[in-house]
Amino acid sequence: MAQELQEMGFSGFGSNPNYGAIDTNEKQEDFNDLKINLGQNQPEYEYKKTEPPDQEEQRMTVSSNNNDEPGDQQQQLTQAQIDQRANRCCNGVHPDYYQRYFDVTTQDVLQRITFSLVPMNNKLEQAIGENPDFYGPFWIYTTLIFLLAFAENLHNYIAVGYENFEYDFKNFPPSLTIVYGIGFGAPLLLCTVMKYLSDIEMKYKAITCIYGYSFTSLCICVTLCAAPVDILQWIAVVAALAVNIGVLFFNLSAELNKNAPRLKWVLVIGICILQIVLMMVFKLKFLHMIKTK
Amino acid sequence: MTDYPKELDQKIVLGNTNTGRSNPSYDPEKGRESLAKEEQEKFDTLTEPVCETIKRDLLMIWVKLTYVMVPRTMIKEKAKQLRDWDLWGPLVLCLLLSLCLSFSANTDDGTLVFQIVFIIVWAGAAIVAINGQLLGGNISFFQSVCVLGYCLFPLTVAAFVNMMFLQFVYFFIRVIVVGVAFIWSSYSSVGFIAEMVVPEKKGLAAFPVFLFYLFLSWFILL
Repeated sequence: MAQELQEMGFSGFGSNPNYGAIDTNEKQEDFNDLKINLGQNQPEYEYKKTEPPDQEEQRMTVSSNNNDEPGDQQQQLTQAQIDQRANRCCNGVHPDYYQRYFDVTTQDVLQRITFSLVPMNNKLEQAIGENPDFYGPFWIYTTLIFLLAFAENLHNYIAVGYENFEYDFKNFPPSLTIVYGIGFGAPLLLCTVMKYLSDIEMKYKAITCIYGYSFTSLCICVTLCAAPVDILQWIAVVAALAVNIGVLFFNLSAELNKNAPRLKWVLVIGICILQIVLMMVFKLKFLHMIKTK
Repeated sequence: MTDYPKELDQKIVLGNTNTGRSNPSYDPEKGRESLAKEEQEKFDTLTEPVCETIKRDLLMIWVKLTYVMVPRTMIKEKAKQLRDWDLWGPLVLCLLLSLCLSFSANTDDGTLVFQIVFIIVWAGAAIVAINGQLLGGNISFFQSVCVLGYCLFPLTVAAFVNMMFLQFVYFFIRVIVVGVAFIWSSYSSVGFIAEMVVPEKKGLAAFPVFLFYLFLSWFILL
């Protein structure tokens, strides 16, 4: 059997000491093309930087306006940090990626809040300029939710006294969903409508920013509604609604007037209805008067 | 039990300031003499009795608490000590606070209050820590959570006092006690939080902390 195999060319067991392995007499250079390329000659893959260059520069100029002393904790990135951020994968999970939405100072935020309480002009939009932030909207919504729960329980406490008072948190999850949902979802709706029904180029960030800051009047109103006086509650609600809608109208209308005069009225009426419904939900569901026992 | 010199004793109590927390590299061929003295001590913790370990951890919690309780003194040392974070202290304080509030809550459902306070403490600490990082802070997530947890101590004391002694006194006195506790907590934690961001953003980083402690104070009051 072995002899027959040998005739067929099969080297078999025993004749070739290497048992079919590479003949070590052959030169190594012949096998260079078979080597697995372990990265020495790989083409360089460059992950695109996540932010467009003009935003990066703008962010750095905003930071440099703060007149920091050299050697203080700086917001400006070193070149090494920029390269690190450009070349890592899954940028979305690092908090660094979202820092550009939080690039405001305390003075900026306070200024924007003051402008959002004065509805007759579009100073808020000018103050926001090219630097919309998510800090304001997010914390104003959170404060609103907290104030709703606080005002409701305080209202009950004043109305029924210490002995009969019970915590009532049934309304906390709905208020959470409603405020965050409308706060971040309504601008998304607006943005989509504007984008596909007209030529307006307003970005989601800017609309959310204006929308979020406009809720400051609602926060103040909800605090006032903790008092158990019915008339005061209604006055506060109406005033807050007026300021809210005014701020939204005047700040968005500059952009709306430019490109879509007819759509503007549709949008304005839509926003009005939404805000009124929101306020009615707060007033009637969350802050209604409890009959004293 | 081997004994170790006094300066290492202090380092073990106060924790090392090396935040790497990596295991010492132990080359079995060279033997333990090749390790630095400090690394030798880490190996000894495996052989020491459990009560020694527990005593040391409790002492570590106590030392951090004393640093938190006296705000604004020796701020540089405080920053170093609290950089070596641990979550035992915050857990113990959170549980105490939740228990006190659930016992003293004037509602049938004490467990609901316990759940809410517990979740609010940890979720709130996480959100405030993330907020600090998003504002460009150079403190890590767990260090922020550690600081916020330890600064709950005044509020826990207020809740305990409220539960034991103040159930039937005027509302006004309870407002004063809880107000003092709130101001103390906020003052302690703002000192740390403000160090970690640029001065222009100090207010932005401090506001969520105020909101967090305000929410808890309101729970204690009502």
